Amino acid sequence: MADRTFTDEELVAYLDGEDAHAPVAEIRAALQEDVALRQRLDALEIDKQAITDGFAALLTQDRPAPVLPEPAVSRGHSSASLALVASLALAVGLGAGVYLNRATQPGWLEYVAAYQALYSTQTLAHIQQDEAAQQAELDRVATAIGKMLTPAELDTLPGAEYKRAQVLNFNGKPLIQLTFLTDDGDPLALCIIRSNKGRGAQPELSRMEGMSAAAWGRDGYEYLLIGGQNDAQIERYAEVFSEAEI
Amino acid sequence: MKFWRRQTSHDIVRNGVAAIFPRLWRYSLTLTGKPEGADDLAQATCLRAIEQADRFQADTDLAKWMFRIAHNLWVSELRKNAVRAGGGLVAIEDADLMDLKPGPEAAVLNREVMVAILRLPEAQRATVVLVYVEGYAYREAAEILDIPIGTVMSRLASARATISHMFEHQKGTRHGR
Repeated sequence: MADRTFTDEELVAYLDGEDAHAPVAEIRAALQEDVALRQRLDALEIDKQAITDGFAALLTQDRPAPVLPEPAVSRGHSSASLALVASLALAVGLGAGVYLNRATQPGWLEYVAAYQALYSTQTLAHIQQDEAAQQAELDRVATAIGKMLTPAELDTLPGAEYKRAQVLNFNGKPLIQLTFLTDDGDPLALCIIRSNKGRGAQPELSRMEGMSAAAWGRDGYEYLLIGGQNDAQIERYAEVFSEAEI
Repeated sequence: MKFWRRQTSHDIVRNGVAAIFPRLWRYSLTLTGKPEGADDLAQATCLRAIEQADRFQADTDLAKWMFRIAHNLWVSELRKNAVRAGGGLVAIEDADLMDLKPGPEAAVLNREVMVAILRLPEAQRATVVLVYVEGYAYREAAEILDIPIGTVMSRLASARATISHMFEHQKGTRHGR
């Protein structure tokens, strides 16, 4: 037993009190006389209290609370319950418009809106890239939906600066998110997804998750511009992008 | 009857999300290494949890279920984008940690230990946070990460060796077992 060599894993399990995974009695016995074993244990010691206290600071970062979809929308995500909603709507004879509206938008707009609601000024304020870096990022991102973009055509909004691009994923389908920060500190996002739903080229204004939003479509893509509470600004910006045929 | 049971697990998930969110965000930061990445992952996890609430078993640990969702989302979807956007593996950078508020009890040593853990390789830091910060048993951490218990143990052993060596000079004041 004195010759037993313990693995680091066994020693760690011993230190952690995971007795089912450590030969506790053997280690205790060996510790009586084995100086080298004590040194090995010491080399695996960590200050657990410092870890607990250090990580406790991460619980109070004042990050935006999660934005949850409305109950009806969330159940609409599963095809079975969507079918249920559909059959109920038809059977009860609810207005066809209401049902179609639900059925043709099972989520990407809501998904993006919920995601955008988490953005704050701080999310974007520190992002500073030169044009070459922005172009490289756009080249990477744009391939996800087969659309080529340049920083110059995005940085055309009066009173808002283009910040960054990233690929998001909705139900296995890529969408790209282009973010902007207004002079007032509002984070905005222009999201683009491939779609042949035939949404019109004229931006349609609405409020989503308490934010101003505009949605339109063109040439096999759907667009959503969202952020802040300035409806007039979103309308203006949506028209800029729509007319520029971004 | 089935309908009612489903309602119940939906309600548990929907009502439980807010209380778990700070811990979920912390674990998301551990995985993504960036505050805004943590925002995205934590939010996506909440949405996925609501979508899949039917699958939540009412008498089990909601936080553990959500950590598992976060891990799966990170591995299956979000990490690819983060790697694509950031180039290479997701390392935690000083600039990202500067954004974090120190918190009320931020003794310098505690913060140094936290930062050192966040700089460990992703697999190690996720395991360390689940076991030493969240307090999960090896078996539970293995279930969340979908790995054998032996892998949990070897990751902890590597992490402990690194951290122990880094803070060797501060030893002797507070110890574990």
